[in-house]
Amino acid sequence: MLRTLGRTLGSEPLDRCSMRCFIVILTFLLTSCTEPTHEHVETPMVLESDTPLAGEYSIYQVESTWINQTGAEVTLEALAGRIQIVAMTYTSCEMSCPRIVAAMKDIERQAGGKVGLVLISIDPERDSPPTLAAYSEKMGLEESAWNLLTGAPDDILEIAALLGVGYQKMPDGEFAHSNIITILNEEGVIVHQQNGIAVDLTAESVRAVQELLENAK
Amino acid sequence: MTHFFGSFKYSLATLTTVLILFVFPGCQSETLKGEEQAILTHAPAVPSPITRNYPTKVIIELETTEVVRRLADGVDYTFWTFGGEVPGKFIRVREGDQVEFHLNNHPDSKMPHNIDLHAVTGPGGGAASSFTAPGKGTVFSFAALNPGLYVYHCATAPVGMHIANGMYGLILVEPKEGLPPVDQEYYVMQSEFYTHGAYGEAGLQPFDMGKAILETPDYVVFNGSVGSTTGDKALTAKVGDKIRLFIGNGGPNLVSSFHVIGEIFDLVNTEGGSVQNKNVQTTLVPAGGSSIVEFTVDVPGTFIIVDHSIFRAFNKGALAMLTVTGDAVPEIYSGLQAESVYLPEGGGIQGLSGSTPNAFVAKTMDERIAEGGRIFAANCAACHQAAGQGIPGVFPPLAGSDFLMSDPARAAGAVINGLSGPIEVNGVAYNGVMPGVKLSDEQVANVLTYVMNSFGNKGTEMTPSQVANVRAGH
Amino acid sequence: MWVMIGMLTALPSASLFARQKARTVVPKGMVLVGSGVYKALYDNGGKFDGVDVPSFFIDENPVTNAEFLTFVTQNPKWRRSKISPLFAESTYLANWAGDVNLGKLGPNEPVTNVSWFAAKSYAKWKGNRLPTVAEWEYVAGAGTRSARGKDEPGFEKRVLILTNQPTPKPLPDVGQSSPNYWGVRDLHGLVWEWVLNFNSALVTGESRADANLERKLFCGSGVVGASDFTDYAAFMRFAFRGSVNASYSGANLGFRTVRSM
Repeated sequence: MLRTLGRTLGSEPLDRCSMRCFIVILTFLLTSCTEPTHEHVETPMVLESDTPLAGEYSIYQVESTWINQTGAEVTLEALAGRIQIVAMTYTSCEMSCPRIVAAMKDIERQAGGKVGLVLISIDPERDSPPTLAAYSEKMGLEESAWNLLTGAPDDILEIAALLGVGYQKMPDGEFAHSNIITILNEEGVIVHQQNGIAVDLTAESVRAVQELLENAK
Repeated sequence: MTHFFGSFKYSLATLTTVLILFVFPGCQSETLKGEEQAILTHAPAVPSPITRNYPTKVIIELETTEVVRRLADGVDYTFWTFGGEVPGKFIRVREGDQVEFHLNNHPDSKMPHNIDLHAVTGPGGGAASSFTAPGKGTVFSFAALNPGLYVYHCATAPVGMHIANGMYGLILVEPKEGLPPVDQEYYVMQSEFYTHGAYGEAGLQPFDMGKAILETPDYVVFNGSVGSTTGDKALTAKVGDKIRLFIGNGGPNLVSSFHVIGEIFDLVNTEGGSVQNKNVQTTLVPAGGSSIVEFTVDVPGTFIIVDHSIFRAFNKGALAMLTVTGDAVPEIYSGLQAESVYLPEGGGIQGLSGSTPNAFVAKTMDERIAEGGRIFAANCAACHQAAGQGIPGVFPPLAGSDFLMSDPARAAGAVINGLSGPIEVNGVAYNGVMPGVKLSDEQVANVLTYVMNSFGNKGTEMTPSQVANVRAGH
Repeated sequence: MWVMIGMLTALPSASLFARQKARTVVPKGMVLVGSGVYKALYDNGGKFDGVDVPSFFIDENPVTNAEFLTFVTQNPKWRRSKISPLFAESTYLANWAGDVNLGKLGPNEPVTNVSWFAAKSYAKWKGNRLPTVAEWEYVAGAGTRSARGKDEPGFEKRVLILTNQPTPKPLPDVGQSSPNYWGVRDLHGLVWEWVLNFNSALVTGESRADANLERKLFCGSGVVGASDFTDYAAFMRFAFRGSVNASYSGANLGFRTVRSM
């Protein structure tokens, strides 16, 4: 009821509030006076039970090799030593992937520290290293920070399984896929995932990165 | 006047705040205090009323399991459950509570499950957040914003099948001022089952998708099985008790015409909401909906609870009982009138789909009695009761019945052709209608041999040829 | 979720398949599956044609405890005491008596309590791979007399009953059910089976909304509208696949392998 009251006071100019309105408010207060307040319920994706032992939970254990936008071979282990912001996208995606990239840039900028960013292609057929390089340029992705990776279909499936990303090639050549952005610590352990690209979710990722940067000091 | 208040307007918000903080200290917005583990109950029990006058964090643990259980005598079914039984455990919280819901799926489960609580304000009622593979657990939280009685159910694909297999229950969000005290509270939930075999066909019966889509169930039951709440498992009360029933309907398809024979609901919270209706005979409970009814039992006796879509009660199992003990109150109820208004009209032959003649032929009297017991449970026990004691004034007893034992051929005739009109059994007058039961000569012989040699009765064997004679009119 | 269910539009010619079978060397323990088309259950209102499934070999039976024991004996990394928690949950091979000890389990019972990573690695070790959703559903859609089981009376009902019944305890040995048209056994009613792209099923758990997935969660518009609302057994398989992650190592889940031609 207080919420209703708040809306009334907030949305209507007070000079339209008459005696009657005041009485109504009083009546509200007298008859059903309480409205519980609730803490914001957070539902971030949580990892399996216990605090992961570093290393044991590192996704860098996966033995697979990748090629980045410069044509260089990259192992996942090479990403270690730096906080990484990771997503799985494809370059011809026009709907959510550009927004995922924008959200990743936001996280990097707002967190205000040195981090790496990784885009793993789910469309290796079309996303060759030159295509990735062109995309990188088009989207204005700093080469020193960003790795755009492509690899063997099997390896892509495996990394998707580790990141909890689902994707499906549709018969029209486009992909249905989850919009998950993952924050990895320096050892390659997942510390946070945002499922979706809403602003408040991005803010949580920023906090996760800031916390990691803080701990690194 | 307007001008006066106009000059007053800017201090209005301040004044309101002052009122909240000082004039009505009890009216401060409620903040969560503490934490507690909810105690959940199996039907027909209901957790105790909430005595807290503040909201708290309530932790609920509910386990999904898949179990083979009795659906009717001789009939088993693979139930998917919330808490091991159908219906699921009853949950009771208070308006304003913060509920932390733990859904655990037993490792032996074959299916993933989740929960959609109609008490949840949020997408899917929690379904997506609680999607749980076998051997896993999930947690989500919600605020119990609206008071009322709400259904919860599983919403995993194929949804209809998860519900048809038993995955539903009730959650009560008590209004913060609480519910008025009553003497007895019970939990009754109706639902239907779609089986390959017809009603009463013995064995483990698989789910029948075709019947579910056509919405033609073989079983319509209260609290998960035929006879779950009858005889010695009936709800109980004493004369003068005020009773509150929390009624749910899991569906998956049918709407219930919920009725307690011989009672009038003093109060009904229609559809489990906040509007109260008075003096109601039958209340509709939608599939995926609820109702709260209150009534006072003024006289002793057995009150039959039915879905008044009446064939469901007599042919599909939608029958429960409330046994009230205490002294008779003749000025309210004389005791001489028979409860027969709800019976299907006429004494014609009632086609029991479950009694298609089967190939079983008894070779000994023991076999006859054993098979007869099963036939009795499926076709007779609903009225004459499992122990053959009947219901005084309504359904005559078979146990120690002079009417039965003195003339077995007349009894056979009653089974074959039905019986209506006044009769006297052990000195008590009955004036009801018994429909004829479509059984083979072999089956009639078996069931009569059973009743004449059970419940303390000591009689002889009846043979199929004797039955055939009766049928032929000899 | 809206992925695929075996509804075959084009069928291999039986005589062609017979000729193909005659001149193919089939690996031991596997059978040959003829090519065909597998049509999506969730196919965007029938806008898309099915997925072509080329001929492939598939294990006649699910992988057994004995077979998996050989694998972990030769590959210590995949023993239950050695496996990284990244690749398997604590229930991994929890039904075994020890790292390389089956205990009371029958060697010919299907192996369960294995993660997707372990199953995938086993397949690789055998020179095979896990079947795709399309391949698995295509094979499982075969009846006893034809590649299209839906045309055989009672087929769907039988599959639904098998899928619906609780997992027997203890599990029976593999290979006890009668083979389907391709000669494959135990596809329905023994254990669930891993598929390679299990995570392509974008099942959210809110099954009623899966036909209209939110754009903010899932990119791509091709995921609306089921083509067959009556294949309940398939709905259950997709729901199951959607409920697990790759490290899941539950008691009802095994696998079999395939090999491309």
